[in-house]
Amino acid sequence: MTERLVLPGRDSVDALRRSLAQNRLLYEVQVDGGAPEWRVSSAAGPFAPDVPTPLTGAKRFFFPPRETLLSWRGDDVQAVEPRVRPFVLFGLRACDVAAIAYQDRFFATDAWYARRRAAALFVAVNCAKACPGGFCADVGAGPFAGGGFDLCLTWLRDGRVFVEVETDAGRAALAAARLETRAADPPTCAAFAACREAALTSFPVRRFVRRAIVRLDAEEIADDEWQALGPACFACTGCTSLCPTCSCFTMVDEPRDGTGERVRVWDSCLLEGFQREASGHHPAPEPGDRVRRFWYHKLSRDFVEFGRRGCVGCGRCDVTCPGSIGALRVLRALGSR
Amino acid sequence: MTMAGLVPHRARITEIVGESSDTRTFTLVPDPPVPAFDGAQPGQFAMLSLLGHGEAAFTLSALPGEAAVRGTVVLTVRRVGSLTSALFALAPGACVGLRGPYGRGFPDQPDEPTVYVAGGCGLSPLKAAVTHQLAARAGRTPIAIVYGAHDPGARIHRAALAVWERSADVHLIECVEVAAPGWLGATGRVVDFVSAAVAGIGARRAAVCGPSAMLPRVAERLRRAGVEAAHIHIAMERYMKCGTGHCGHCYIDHRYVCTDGPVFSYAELEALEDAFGSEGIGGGVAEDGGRDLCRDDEERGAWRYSPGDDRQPRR
Repeated sequence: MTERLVLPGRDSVDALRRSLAQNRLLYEVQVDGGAPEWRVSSAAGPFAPDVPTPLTGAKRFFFPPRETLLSWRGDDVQAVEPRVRPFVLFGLRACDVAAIAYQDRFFATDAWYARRRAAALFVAVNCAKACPGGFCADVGAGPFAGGGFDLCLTWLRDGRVFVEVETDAGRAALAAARLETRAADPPTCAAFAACREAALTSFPVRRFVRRAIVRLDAEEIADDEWQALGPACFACTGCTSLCPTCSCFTMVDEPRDGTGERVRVWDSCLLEGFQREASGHHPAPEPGDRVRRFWYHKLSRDFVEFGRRGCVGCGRCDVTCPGSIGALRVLRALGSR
Repeated sequence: MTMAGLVPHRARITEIVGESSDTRTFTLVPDPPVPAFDGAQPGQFAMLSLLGHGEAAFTLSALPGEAAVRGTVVLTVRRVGSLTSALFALAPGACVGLRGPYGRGFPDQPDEPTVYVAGGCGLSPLKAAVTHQLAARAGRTPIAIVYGAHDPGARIHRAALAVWERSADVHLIECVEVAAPGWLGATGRVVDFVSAAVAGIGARRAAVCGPSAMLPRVAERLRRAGVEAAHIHIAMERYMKCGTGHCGHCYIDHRYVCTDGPVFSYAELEALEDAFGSEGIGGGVAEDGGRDLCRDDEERGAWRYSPGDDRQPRR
């Protein structure tokens, strides 16, 4: 059961950060003159709640671009366990919280993912308004996190900070910081609800998203619609790399003088060779076939499999795609008929 | 949660049998033993590792306790790429890695008259399934096998074919696409002989494995011959890296060939968005195009199958 508390202001948030940094690696999104990026923080300065969402999401903390699975010497094979210090992601946005919850289900039986995930604490921060290109509200992933965090912070208009506590680990983190917390009274809960309402209504109306999803689920999309999108995919893998729910990988052997390692690295279903079989047979030979397989799976069929769609509306694919067929543009194309 | 899932067990090659110019059957003995393989079902597969060369999926062509000795894993492999070329360079005694068995095999219904339709290497999982049905059936439930190879030299599992040929209640039809001097069997494609095989034994069930282009054609022909789509079981092939439903290479729609398959019913595959790609359902097997792609049995009367002439002459 989620506990609802309130902190008097920003100072107590910074005290929480300093407390967390004593026992865990504290990661925060920092700009430092470049692109926003998750970086290790000492919590020396004040927390910046309005820093933009980083283009590289949080999936690399649990499903890194490169993970050594095993090593061998001669015929002797040993699993390589990831070494992870306890860490906290402070300032995780609702889209990324939803994406991690999705990947938690997908990688539920993967020991390497589980080892990294068990080391993490999440302090989410709800978004006060829509970010440019974000459409989390249209796919049920934000702008307020609906669960999947340890703690979730919301800045109220009067300067106080509303705290949702979902786990014992979150409760322990608050206790360790010795903060002056109070249970949120009904007026405070109403203020929180007003913030959520304001955040939701800050999103533009995008009826085509719903329309596209209905058409996808009903399998109404004709092949020529996909083939029309196909030439805009340059197989750069930008979308699948930045997508916080994409999880395709390949495994590569790296031999060295009788020893070696088997490494799991990110792969992309949009690459031509992804499904090509040794016989030469290719189940998705055209770019349009691969675009269809990718988006159909992410926007529609994941719902059958995991109870939520694979898109959290973060908009990263729209930012990176050189061919202008990120998720929102694909939804617009499919939902405008 | 252990790290064992993706770590192969060590296995030693104990026997290598040449099947054809590019296909060999490898008998492997995991050491220490992997008891799960002794309970493997026909149609399931193993991930075979050659450290330094990677890992690939291969179906079990003989089941421990049936055509294979308990404690062994028998895989039939065609040399097509770098991993299989490296495997073919090994001799008995060499070590490889094994994970598995993985996937959903053929349903176990030994008392149903069944037609097995295999093309090329696709005979391997069906060989395991046929052997299993012959051992498990209560009476003399009839079995028909339609096996097509490219040419006579490409035929695999010849010892099993010879046994089935001598078996009174196994109706074996062999064909090749390109005949060679001395070949006395049929010439054509497996799809040409499916209807007759179904009629010959009154089959209500079918098991199919072969090249991707063959699968929807054979399935449609089976259905036209009276086998329900839910009882046509097809072993699908897809590139895969993990075998555990994670790497993403093998999914079709929302189903994973490695964990939900590799054996699916035709009814299940029809419900998926693109199980057979552009060659699939509604594509190459459309009524108007059907005659070209799957020539009618009637046109090929010379090779019509009937129970009376089930002894196909062979070299």
